[in-house]
Amino acid sequence: MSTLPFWATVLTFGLVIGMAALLLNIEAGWGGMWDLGIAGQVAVGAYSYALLTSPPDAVVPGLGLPFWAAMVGAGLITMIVSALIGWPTLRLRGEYFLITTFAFAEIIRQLIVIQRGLTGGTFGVTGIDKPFAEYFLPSAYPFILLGLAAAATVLVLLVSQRVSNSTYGLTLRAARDNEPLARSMGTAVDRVRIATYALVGLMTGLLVAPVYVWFLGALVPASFTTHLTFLVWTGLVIGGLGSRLGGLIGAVVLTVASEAVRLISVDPEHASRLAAFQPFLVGVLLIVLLRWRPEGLLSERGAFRKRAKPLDRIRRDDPQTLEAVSA
Amino acid sequence: MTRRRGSVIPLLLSSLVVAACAEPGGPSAADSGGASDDGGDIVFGQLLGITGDYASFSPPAIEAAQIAVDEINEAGGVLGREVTLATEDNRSTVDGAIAGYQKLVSVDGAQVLGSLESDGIVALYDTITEQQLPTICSSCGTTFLDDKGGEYFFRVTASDSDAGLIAAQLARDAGYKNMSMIVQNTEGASGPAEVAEAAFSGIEGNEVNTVTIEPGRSSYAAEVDQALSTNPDVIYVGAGIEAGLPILREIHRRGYDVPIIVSPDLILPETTTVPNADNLVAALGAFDVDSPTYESYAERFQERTGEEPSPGLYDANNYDQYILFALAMQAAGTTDGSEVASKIIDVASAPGTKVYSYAEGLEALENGEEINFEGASSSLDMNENGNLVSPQLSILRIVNGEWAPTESVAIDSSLRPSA
Repeated sequence: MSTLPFWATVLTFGLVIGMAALLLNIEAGWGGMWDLGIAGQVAVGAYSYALLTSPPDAVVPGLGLPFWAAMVGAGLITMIVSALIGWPTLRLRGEYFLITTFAFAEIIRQLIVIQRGLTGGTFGVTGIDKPFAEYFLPSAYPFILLGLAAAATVLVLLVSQRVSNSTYGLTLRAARDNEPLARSMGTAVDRVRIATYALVGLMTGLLVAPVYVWFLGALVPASFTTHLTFLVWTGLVIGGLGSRLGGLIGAVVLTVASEAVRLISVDPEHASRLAAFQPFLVGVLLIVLLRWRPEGLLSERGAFRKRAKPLDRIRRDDPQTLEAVSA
Repeated sequence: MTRRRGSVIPLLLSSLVVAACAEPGGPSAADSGGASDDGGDIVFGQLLGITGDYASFSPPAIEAAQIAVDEINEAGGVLGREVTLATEDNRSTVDGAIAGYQKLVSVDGAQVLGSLESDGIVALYDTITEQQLPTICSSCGTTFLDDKGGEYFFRVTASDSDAGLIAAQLARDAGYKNMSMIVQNTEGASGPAEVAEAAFSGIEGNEVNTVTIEPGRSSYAAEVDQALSTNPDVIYVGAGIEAGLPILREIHRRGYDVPIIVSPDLILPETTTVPNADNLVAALGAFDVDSPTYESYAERFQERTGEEPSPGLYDANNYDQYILFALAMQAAGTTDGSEVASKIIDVASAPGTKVYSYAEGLEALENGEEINFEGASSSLDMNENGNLVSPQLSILRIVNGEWAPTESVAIDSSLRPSA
């Protein structure tokens, strides 16, 4: 027996959580919007994808679109829903914003449960369209899925990097650090934040949610509880809130560390003790991290320090060159 | 430097893909029910919520599974091979079920899978069907399986539909005609209630008034008012304890003195203290305590744990599923997933010689007989969808301040929608 399919599955899940953490980092790390509704956004994207790909004659009928069109559709739908949610919630600050986004995520989950005709209710949606599944053995598909997840992660990373290096990203961080000052400089803070919320919705629906759906193989409302939100947040905190790659690294470390426990072989009688070791391990990981690296494995300062270095050097070594560059 | 690192990841991924796709044989050879039929130990997989919401169910379930595996090995194993039990935690979550399933199938080489809970069953349904892994659920009541099982999925417990049917049956048998239902709008509560509503209102002259509630409200006065507006002669309350208690108290506060059928979620010590406790009645899956299989199992369970088997924890059901797997595998003469799955209903159902242990079943099979394994939980006769034909249920009432079984009852199959 090989452990490779198992690790492919674990890494795929790690990348899904990592992508969500990278997007959450744009919102919470750079934008200061501590969002507890990420599970709701993923749910909207996941159900949109599933319903757009589901055949019209299925138990839960859909439009029967190809997977790529459904990804685009799910991205747009999640973006619109996120903007609609963001419009009232982003008027709130701090814990009020946090509680409201949490409430919206629960409302979305309850709507999924209630709207049985549309979403399958607690039955969920099965028969998910997985890209290229027909060309591979079921035992090989975990590797294909890992490849797809890696490709999606690269795209999310590119967007995240682009945001971090852009004026828009700097504006987002400026509004987080000193909102009155940012406003006095003419920055439309509310518009920037709603745009960020919508961007995160777009990327969640376009990439995170479809890969999560492929990973799950079926949708049930229980997949979108607060457990998912806290998993994403834990990954981001471990990796480093505000850093460029921290969310991804933290989520992968968290997932791999949690699942590696499964490979310890014990008698069935001791399985419960081994299983209890997993939350213990996660707890210890967080405590150790908060004690010795309170900013996470990577920090925001470290992430943005590199860009400052060349300019610092120029300033230090040759003031005239700096003047020339500035000119 | 960056470029070099970037090229390593795709290289690694493509190596993994190539390694996976290079597996010899077609789907039937590589993907049929986990490990190959190549000698060595046979692995029975067990995937259950050892941590998380379902954690309280797992210790007795694991003990019961081990009792079954010990019994199988003492009788000579399956196809002359030892059986081992591989246990994985699904963390009571869907993603935990997927990772645990992958570990059981790819690392442990599980050839059958038992003990999944409802959410895990729904999530893994397509994957398990594709991989042709025989799967029995010992505790999942999801109505999803009512018409989707029978090929690779089976269950040895009552469906949530049965919980709904028994509520309708209780009301019908007591001669009630007008039922009001107060139902919490959450997973687990709405499914049985919908079945009860359909079954009861399907009887000529009966009327049903259903009121849906949300959990977590501070008062349910308006909902109870709406439910009592039709002057019902019986009330059904399908809710968790948080909403159930204030609803029961509100019914009493209004002086409404009629029988109240409650869902299994309310069979708790807290409900024995409500003022109208004497009006409460409930139905729950029960073990067939007169069965020789149960007597033998209960003795061993008590020896290992010091406790009695408990229908609410589904331990005997867990024992039954592994004996069924072993008998089906023996009957199939192979560990091939599709072959084993095709024998599960045969060895669980009539016709055939009734057997009450693995050793008896093995002997009968070796003599060329058809068998009908009678489980420790109840008769395991299954319909074509892999559901129990007539699960054993008990009626519970509050006696001397405690919930206690007062009578056994079998489902009247004429109430089923398909009947």
